[in-house]
Amino acid sequence: MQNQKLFDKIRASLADEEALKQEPLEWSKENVWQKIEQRQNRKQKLVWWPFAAAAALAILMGGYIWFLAVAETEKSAANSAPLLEKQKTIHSKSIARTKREITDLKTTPPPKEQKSKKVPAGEPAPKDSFIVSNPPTNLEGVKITSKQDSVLPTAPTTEIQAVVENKSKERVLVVDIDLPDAPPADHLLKTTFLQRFSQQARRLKTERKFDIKALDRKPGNGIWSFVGQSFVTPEAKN
Amino acid sequence: MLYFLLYAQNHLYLITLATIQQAQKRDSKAQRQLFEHYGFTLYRLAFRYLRERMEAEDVVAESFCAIFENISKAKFENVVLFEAWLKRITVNESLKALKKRANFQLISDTAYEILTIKDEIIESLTAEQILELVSQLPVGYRTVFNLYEIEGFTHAEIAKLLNINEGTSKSQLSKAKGLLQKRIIELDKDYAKSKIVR
Repeated sequence: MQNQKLFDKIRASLADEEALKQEPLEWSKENVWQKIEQRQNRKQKLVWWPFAAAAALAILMGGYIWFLAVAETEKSAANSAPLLEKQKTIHSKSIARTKREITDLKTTPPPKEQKSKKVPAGEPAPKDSFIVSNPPTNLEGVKITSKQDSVLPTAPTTEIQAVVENKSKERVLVVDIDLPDAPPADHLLKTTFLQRFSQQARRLKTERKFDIKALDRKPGNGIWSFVGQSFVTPEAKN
Repeated sequence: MLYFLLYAQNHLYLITLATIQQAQKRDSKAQRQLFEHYGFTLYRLAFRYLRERMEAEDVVAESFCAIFENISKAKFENVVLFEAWLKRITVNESLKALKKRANFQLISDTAYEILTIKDEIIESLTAEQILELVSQLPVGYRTVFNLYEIEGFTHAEIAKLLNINEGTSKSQLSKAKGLLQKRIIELDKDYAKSKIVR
């Protein structure tokens, strides 16, 4: 190849580090290093971007889910609010009644036990009398504190206990009694007048038989005996 | 003495595989050592392509950023391979910077005669003269000449790097050599006058 020697020399000259170091080239090393550091810092910041973005996204998603959960809870609470309000009203009513009773007990003297026990001997107990259990007024042993119930005013616990101790105990017996099975209503309706009449006649006949037996324990076999048994008066019956 | 001091300063940081491994672990001290040792070499390489100081410095900074970013992904059996890798990165960065230039274009209309140069003239050429001659080549010629003759790239690789055909790369190199010969002959006016030996 033509001028191969020339190009070999050029190649050797350009590759010769020692020769090249003689080359009058100036460069600001520190400036270049500063540029490198700045770019590295920028790249490091950029490297964190995806992670930061992912973290932010995760936080946003978590917040959204939490918000949804809270909204759901609030919705369910709003639905159950009337029921709670009702319960609260009942509870406050019972508390108010209890308080009223306590004040009544305070103001009125305790009833005499002898007087209350006196019941007229001949007078039977009324059939329709019921033993009614009052709402939970028995506060014996229960300490009412402001923390337990914010509705109640903070009353001294000892005072309540003292009042409650005077109240007589009421005991309620709850008995489960099985009633005899009533005939089916449709059965009565189905019976005809003739059936009912025959039933009545049969019952009267039986009663009459018993009556005869009671009158004449030794009935004769003759016709007079039959006639005598036929004329049974109500007086003779008793 | 001064030369020795300069030499000692440049070779103060001896690069070993251990240093490279430290740099792979993103050790800033090792990174600085690499920069101290190879900084100027890479700057000179970039300058050979770009012929502009600021641009060459930017390319060196960009190259070192790429080196520090990718050094942990590569494996080096010896320091020579590592140096080749550094140069390759710097060449790529230089070519990127060249492509950004508006005036970067390959000349194809000029044809140069192949001339034979006497051995005496070749022997009398100094390194400085050669560098000067190469740097005065048009950017397209110079780039292909540097890539092929100095860096040792093949025409296929050059074509890929510069997004040109292999034939274009070959013709650019041929023209670069012709122009270089012409300029060398022109150095000796008497010789140039005496008509070139074919």
